[in-house]
Amino acid sequence: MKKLFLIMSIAVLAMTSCSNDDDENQDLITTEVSVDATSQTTWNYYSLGQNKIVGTGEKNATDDALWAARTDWDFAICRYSIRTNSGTSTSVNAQGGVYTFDSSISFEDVVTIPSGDISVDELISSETMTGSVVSNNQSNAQVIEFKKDEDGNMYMPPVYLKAPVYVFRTADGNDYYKVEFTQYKDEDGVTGKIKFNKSLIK
Amino acid sequence: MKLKILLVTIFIIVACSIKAQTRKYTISGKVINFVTNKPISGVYITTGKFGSQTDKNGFFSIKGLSSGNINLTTMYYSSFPKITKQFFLSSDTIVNFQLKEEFLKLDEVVITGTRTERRLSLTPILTKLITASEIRKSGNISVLECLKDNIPGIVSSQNSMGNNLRIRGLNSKYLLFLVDGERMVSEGVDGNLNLDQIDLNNIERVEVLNGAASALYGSNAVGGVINFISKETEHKLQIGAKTLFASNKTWNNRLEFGSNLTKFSSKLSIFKNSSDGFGENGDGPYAARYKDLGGNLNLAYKFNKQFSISMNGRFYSHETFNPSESMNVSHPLSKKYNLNIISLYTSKSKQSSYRLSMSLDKYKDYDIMEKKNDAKEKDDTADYLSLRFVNSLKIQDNWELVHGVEYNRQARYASETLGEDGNSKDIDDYNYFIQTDYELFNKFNIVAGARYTYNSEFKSAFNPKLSLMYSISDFKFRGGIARSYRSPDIKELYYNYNHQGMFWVYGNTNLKAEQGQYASFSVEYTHRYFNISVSAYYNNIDDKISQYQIINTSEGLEYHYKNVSSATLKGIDIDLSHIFFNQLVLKASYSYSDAKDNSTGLQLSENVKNSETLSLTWNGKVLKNPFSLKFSGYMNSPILFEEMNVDSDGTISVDKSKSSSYSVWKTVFVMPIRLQKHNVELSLKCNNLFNFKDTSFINSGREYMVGLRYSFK
Repeated sequence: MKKLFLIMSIAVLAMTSCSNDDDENQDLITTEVSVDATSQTTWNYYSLGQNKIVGTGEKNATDDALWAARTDWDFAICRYSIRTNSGTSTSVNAQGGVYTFDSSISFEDVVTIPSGDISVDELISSETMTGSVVSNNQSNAQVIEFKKDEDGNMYMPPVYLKAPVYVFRTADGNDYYKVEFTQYKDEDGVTGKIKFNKSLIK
Repeated sequence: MKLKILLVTIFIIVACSIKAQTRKYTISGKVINFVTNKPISGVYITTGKFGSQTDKNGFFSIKGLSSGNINLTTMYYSSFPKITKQFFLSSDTIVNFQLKEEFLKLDEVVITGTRTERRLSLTPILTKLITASEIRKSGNISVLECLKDNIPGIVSSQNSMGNNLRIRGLNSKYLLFLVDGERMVSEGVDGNLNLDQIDLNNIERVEVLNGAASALYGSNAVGGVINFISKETEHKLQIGAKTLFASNKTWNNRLEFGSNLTKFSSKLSIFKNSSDGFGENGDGPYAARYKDLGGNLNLAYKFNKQFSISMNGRFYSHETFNPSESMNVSHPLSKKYNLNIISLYTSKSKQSSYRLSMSLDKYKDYDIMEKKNDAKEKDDTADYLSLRFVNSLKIQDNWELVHGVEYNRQARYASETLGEDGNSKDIDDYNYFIQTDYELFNKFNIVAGARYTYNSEFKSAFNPKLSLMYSISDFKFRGGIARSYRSPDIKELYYNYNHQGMFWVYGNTNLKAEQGQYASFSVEYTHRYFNISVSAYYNNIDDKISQYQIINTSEGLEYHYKNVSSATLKGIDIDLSHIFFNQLVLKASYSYSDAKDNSTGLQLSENVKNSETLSLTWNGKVLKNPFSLKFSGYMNSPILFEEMNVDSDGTISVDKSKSSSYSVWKTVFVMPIRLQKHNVELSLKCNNLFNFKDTSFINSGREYMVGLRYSFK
């Protein structure tokens, strides 16, 4: 009787520890995420931990300020631009940011948190087609890269190249997720139908 | 008994006459070189059915020929033009030939300047000629390469939107590209068309005219006319095959079959070209991988000496691919179809001819959706239909007249650019043109012509021209003035496009035609093995259609069109050719071009002020086999990029930049080996010999090519 009880306790303990491992393995599974970022003027704010779009905001000072005060999002996407909850994109000292790997590193290669510097958001200026200058708080990471010549001019019609693998830090500064963007246009050619793979790194 | 003798005699007489009718004869003779008087071996002398090759002493002998009309023709390398002697064979005959090697090709026939055939040396309109033999000796594998070798100042960048061609700052909208005198529909932006649709192997010669030619050819002939003349089937049976391999895994393969049976002639050729492109990785020059497929079918029937009818069909497909790691989901596929039907009637006296033709050129543009099983989408179409009736008259020995009526229709269907849900638009024009050529005292040649056009959009246009040629001893002076026009195309008139809410483009139905005024003067001097021509031109284009930007009330960017600018082009062209020691041919061309946008004072985009082409060909022999070794190149002064920008707040800024000077050279070795009716030709080429690089030059550096061509004629 005692032996049976002992064996059963060990079995229960074993099963418990196994289930703990399972929980950990759940976090390390790669998830595919779809984001509709087709609008030219809308930022889609996403949370890595909750794995969902927590809301959208227009490209203007008012909405930017409202979102800068929140910590429930880690990065946002508008077409091919990315904004992380860090640097000039946050007013409450959120600790987001992105690390960019070399283009030779694949998604599977990344298993540990990178040791290099995490880039935070800055005010980036660009020239619109009308010639006026527009500034946005955003990251230097992009969903895709454009093929350019030596002078920096884009080849037309645009050739979209795969962006390198990124590691995003969550707004609370605690977790790191590796992210690989796998789609910018859907099968019908609609631009901004984004897909990416994400996975937590320990 | 008497009856028996009579019968036998009759029988003998009949038998003798039959034998006489089936008696066989021999034609023999000697072939010598006209200049050196030395015998030429390996020349194939043929009656069409029978033939023989000359031996090392230049002697030939064709036996077993029946009595009758004979056309005896020499067949040798292309630099020795054929000689045909006609006679009636009734006994053993000796026929001798004197073959003359022709490098300057001044007796070649050209047609573009007058729509009637003229010898190059006698044409009143200065024409530059590129022959099939030159194209082969230059190892040209594309039309663009051929033009760059021969016309100085060409700037081009190949991309999947067609060849972006500019000559003297003028883009393809101001150049008229013709195949056998018929237009090709413009495909992309700025009148671009993909010149790879023209199979160079099927081209007999390229005729290039500088300047206005609207009187004969209508719209777009403002900066020049480039006419590709197709080869005709000459032999009873001809078979050809060609394969070529060049850098960047470029393959060109071609098969050809032709037959000329006096009354009925036919020709079929197909080609398959592909290349891996270059520069997929990194930021350097990039050219996409592509696959091309094309074909040409020609059928002609000669009812009698007066009347003939011919039909020509062309097909071309061009598919370009994205780099292997790209995130694009579609790639472009374009197709071209062309059908040409011509009927020609020449009067018995040969004084008058009538030509009725129909030409239909169709362009289709698709997107291949890679994630939907390569489904074809978009399906934009552009059509050009041309119906023409031309009458040529030889009024007197020194007076020729050409006139005709022409109807043209261009149509476009666009899924996005002519309206949101797909829309088609078309433009018609009706024309009457006349040109007369009068020769005075054997020295003066006056060409006067005009075209009246009625266009469904901009209504009337009248374009006259006048040219004079004065010949004295070895000199020819040519001068001319002409008016030209460019009608606004369907896009400029009817554009209605929203680019994903980022900008809009609107056409303008009130646009007028652009007007060109052209004047030129040239001097040509020919003496024995030397030829030089110097010509100066002035081309002023008014009412030039330009795009301008406005910011609309919702802060959006809109592009509109108006007839606003004018450009003045001035320049000098010098062309010379010289033959040394009977074996070395030197050709050089120089162009000075000043192309100014009159509203800004800046040079037209991508103009090149000084440009040259140079080639030196050694036509030698190794073990009695001829070969050609060519060293050629082109040089430009910097390509100019000058732009004036007006900001939203009205400040004007001038942006001037330029490429570095260009110097691109190549060397080509071609060796044909002829054995009776079989010809095998080996070509070796090294392109961009000195590895010239520049950010404006889309080229993978030094390139190599090996080609093998077989033909049976």
